[in-house]
Amino acid sequence: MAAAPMTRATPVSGTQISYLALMAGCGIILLSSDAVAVPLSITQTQAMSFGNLAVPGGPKIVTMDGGGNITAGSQWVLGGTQQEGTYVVGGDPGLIDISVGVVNTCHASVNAYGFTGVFGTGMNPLNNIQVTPASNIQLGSGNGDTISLGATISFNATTPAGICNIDFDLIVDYH
Amino acid sequence: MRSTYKKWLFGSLASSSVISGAYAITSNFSMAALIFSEPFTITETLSMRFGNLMANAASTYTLSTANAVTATGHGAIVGGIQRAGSYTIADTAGVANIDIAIAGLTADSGVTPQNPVCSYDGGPDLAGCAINNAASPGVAGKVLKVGIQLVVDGTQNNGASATPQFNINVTYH
Repeated sequence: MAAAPMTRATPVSGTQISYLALMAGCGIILLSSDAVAVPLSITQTQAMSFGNLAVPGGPKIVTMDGGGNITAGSQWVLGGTQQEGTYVVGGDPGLIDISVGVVNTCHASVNAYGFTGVFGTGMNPLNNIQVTPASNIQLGSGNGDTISLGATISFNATTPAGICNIDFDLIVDYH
Repeated sequence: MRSTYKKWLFGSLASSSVISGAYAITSNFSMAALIFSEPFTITETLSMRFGNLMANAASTYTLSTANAVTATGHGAIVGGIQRAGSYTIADTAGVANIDIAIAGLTADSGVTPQNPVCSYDGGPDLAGCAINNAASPGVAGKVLKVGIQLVVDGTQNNGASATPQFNINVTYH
C-alpha cells in the first residue's frame, strides 16, 4: 500500500478542514478529521496550592479565589504556598464551555468543590463550574486563553495529619 | 497529568463534505500536595519527679503542683528531686478553645498513679484535671502543671525504680 498525497478540499467558511487520504483497494476514501484542525489542549502552567492546613476540631472550609487569595478560613492556613491553578487552553478560535468533572481526594473527610475563577484577562467569570459549566466562552479572543482557578477545601476533625493529594478533571468543550 | 479526548461526529465518512463536529477535552490535574498538621503541641518542659522514696514501705505519696510531696502510711521521702510535671501546650493555629484531661493512668512495678491535679496557665489547682473550654493557648503556649498521687504497694526493694505513666489529652473545638 502506497501512501496517498494529502488532499486539500475547498475551504469552508469559518473552519479549517484537513483530510487524511487513505488508499483502500483501488479506491480512495477521504476521512474528515473533524472541523477542528488544531487539537484542543489544556496545559497546566501553575498547580493550585493551598499549602499547610490545620486539622480542625470540627468541620471547616478554606476557600481560595481565582487570584490565589484565601477568602474564607484563613485561620486554618498554617503556612506553605497559596496560589491559584492556571491552565492554558490551546486551539482554534471558537466557542468553548469550561467545567470541572471528577474530583479525587485523599480521604473521605476532605472534599474539593466550588471551583471558581476567570478565563482570559478577567473577561469571563467561572463560577462553581463543577456544578454549572461556564458556557459559550470565546477562545482566541485576544484576551488570553488562561483559566485561573481557585476552589474550596472542606475538612474536619477526622482528617488525618500528613500529605493529602487532590486531583480533578478540567473539561473544555469546543462547540 | 491524565488527558483524554472525546469526540463526537455528527456526520459520517465523507469525501469532501464538511463534517460538523465538537471536541471535548478532559485533562486531569493535581493540586499541589496539601499538608494537614495537628495545630496543637504538648511539650514537656519539666518531667515529674517524686525523688527517692523509702523501700519496702506501703504508702501513698501526693505530689502537688507546687512541687511538694507528702507521704501517708509507712513510707517517707528520703531525697532526690521533687517537682510537679510542667508541660507547655501551644496552638500553632491560635484559633481553638481547648479541653484538657489526664487519662491513661498506668501502674508500674507496684506503683499506681491516681487522682491527678492540674494548674493551667497559673490558675488554681483542679482535682481530676478536668479543664473545659479554656481559651486557645496561642502560638506562644501556656503551661500546664500536673501533680498526682502514687500508691506504692511496699514490694519495692532498695534500688528499685518504677515508671508509672499518664497521658495528657488536649481536645480542641
